[in-house]
Amino acid sequence: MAVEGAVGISAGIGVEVSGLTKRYGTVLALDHVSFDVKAGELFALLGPNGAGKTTLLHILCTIMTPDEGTAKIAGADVVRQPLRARRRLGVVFQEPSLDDRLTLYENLDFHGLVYGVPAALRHRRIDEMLAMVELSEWRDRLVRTLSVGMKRRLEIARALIHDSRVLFLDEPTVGLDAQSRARIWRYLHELRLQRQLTLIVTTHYIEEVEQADRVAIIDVGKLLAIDSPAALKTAYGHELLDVTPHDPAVEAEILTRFGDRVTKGTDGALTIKVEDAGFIEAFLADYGSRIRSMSRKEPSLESVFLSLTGRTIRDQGATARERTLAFGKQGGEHTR
Amino acid sequence: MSMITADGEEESENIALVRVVLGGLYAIWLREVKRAIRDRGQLFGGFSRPILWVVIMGVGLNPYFRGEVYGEVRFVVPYTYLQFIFPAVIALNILYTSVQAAVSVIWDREFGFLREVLVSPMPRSVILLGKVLGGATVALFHGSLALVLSYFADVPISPGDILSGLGLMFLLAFGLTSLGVIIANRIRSFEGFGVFSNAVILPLYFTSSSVFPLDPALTSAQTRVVYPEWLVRVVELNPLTYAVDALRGNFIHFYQFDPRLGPLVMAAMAVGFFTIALIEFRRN
Amino acid sequence: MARRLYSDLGAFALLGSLLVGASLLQPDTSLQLVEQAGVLRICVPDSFPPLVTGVAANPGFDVSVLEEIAKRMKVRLALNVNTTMGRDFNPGNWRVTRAQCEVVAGGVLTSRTTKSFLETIDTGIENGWVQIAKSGAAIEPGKPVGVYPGFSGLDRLTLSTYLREKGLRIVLASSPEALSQGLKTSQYDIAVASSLDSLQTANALPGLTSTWLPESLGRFAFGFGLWKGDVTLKRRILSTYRQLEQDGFLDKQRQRYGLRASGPATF
Repeated sequence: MAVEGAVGISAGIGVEVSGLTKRYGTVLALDHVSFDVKAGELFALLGPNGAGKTTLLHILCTIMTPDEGTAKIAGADVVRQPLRARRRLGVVFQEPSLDDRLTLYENLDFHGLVYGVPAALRHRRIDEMLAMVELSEWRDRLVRTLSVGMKRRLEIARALIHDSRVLFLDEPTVGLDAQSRARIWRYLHELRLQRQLTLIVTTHYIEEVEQADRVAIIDVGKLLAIDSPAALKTAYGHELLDVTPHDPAVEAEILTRFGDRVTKGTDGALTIKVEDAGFIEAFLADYGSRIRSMSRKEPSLESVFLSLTGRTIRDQGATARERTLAFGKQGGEHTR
Repeated sequence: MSMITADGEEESENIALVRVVLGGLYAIWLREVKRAIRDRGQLFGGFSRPILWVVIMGVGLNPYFRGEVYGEVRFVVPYTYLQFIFPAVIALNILYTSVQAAVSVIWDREFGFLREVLVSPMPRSVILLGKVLGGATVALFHGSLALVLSYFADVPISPGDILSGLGLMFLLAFGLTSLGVIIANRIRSFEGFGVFSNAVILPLYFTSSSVFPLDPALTSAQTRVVYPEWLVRVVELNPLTYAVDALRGNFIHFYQFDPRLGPLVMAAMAVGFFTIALIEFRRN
Repeated sequence: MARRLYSDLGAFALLGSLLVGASLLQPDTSLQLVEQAGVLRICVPDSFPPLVTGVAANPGFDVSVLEEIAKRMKVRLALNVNTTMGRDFNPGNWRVTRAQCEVVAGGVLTSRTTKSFLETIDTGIENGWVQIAKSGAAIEPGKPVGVYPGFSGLDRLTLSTYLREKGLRIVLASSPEALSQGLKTSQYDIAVASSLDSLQTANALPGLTSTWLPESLGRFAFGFGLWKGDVTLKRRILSTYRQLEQDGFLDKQRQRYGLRASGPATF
């Protein structure tokens, strides 16, 4: 693996997943998923909403039990030793899970107490982590006075109050502006240098995935590919052509001509897979006068995703199946 | 920087578990108490309810329950109306606050804080126990607020009465908070506290012989002459009736039922409701 | 952190003082009305010795105590003497009402029934059947026993059953004087009367021993009765009464009328 020997990586295994399966009623949310994450690795889970990312994360965080298969966090089985597993993991959920009637300090202190962190270490670490996420001066403010980005930073700080070995981050940067996103990644990289920390991140920002050591692509509950970003691009990447036709007639023609090489995005643009060297010249010759715009994209994880799933990553409209899953996750009474 | 503690040894695992359990219990309890103090609306209710019920209503109705003619019994209980409802107001305050603790369960679920607790290394039973203990502590505090009015209501209270009274109040608060958690688990869409107030608190309160007495001197046949049978039946079925009776026995030494019944029913409520709440909490 | 704490406690202190303030409000107007009128009116029977005697020099324990209480409250005491009190077995016929007096005295029992229309202040004086005997006299079957049932309201039926079970022959006396006479003439060596009635006999004949009969035959405590709902007046009278207990006034009155706080009168 290309990342072997990089800073913060040791030989141990951070997370082991084997044959993990989860059903909601008759729907398979996870279908025999297996992979290992090395200790100290930055591991990204890539997949559209409803792909099974969140289900996987919930099982790894021990708040959901799998129907089949096992998962271990730093050696602790999530089903048989959930309490031990929980002491080794830190989680940052997509939706905030802070108590906004308590102060920042009180939230962190609560976490420390609940994880059994001894008083001296707890107080020292609260100060350290608040300083790291640059919230020291807000220490005694109520959490409800914080902005969304600050809350997310506080949650990251909180997940590190105890001796977490594996840190799960579910869409840690969603809904944040570019500046806050950059800040959060800066903290995460800092942490990897400071602590022997395994990071497992779900995201649908392609550019954030690029910095991961390895990427797993999941869709419809299946693990489609797992490798370093460079290796994935080599194996599955294509050049892509984004085209905006002048009128529906042209669009229809392109769609019939290129068949399954074309996908239509939600914004009306068509994305065409480039398969041979002369394709672009030929395409321009045929349609050059009938399209409004065209742009060419180098092989990227986006194209990897597209060729593996047949969808672009930004197609986030909830399908009926995804809605069912969401319903199941909320504990809808008809599914269990 | 090395922050990782030694692990893998069973002994250190056990010590860690003890620390998690005790620390967690304390943390959850403390959080409930802090939130209750910061919830000004709830705090205000805790202070204003005794004033409204004892001072305003008690004084307003006093002339209708006072003695006028020697030998003429107007109000069968050998106490003034104020003295009679005083222990019930304590129960009312506990009832309100316990059920409000249930609302905090709903908010925890809706606003995600529950997940922070669920992924923590605390066993589920400890989480629930901390929650219920915290809610019960706040309810106990609100209940004892009513005691401030004991002078006004002319209920002389000895230190011994206060001690045993606090014990009973805590038992009641524990049971009712557990009940609140059970109800909260069943509520999927929450649209305000009014539901609780109208559907749980006030019906329980008014049918607990809190504001009118079932005369113990009368046989149950005679009681049914004074009150229609259905009402007597409802009052007798309401477990809160026996809790109010126990408090009344403790503070004004007046029992409408067998004195052993009150603490027994309260203990049964505390154990029963907590067990149900725990089973449900584990299942989720 | 400190500021957070202060703001948390501030709301507390504010609401707390509101509650304490409310507890100091006046629950009713009973005391105010008495003070405005300058008179404390009491309803008493014409005679219920030694609580009420009808004699001006020694008006009785209840009257003397209430007189002192009124004095300390800086109001006048007015007696409303009711001749039917204690005689008619239906209290409803006594026509003692709130309009006539604030306090009822002279034999008010502090029983549960009384408490359903009166608030009572216990004066520690009890009434029950008492046996008075010449020294050396003991209960033996076939012996005569003098009984003065009086108007105390104690249960005569259970008493006579009790005495008959012991095999005693009951000789009824029509008055406390008659009872004393019977003992003096040795018509009987043992007599039974209510503890209050027995006082007169005991005073007339020194050297008698007096013991309670079993409590199951009935034992009542006496006190002052106030109308239920007059909390402010009751509180004031009670606190004055406690003051009297502390400064020895009550003890003096008990001695004066031959009473003891609890237990049968001493001889």
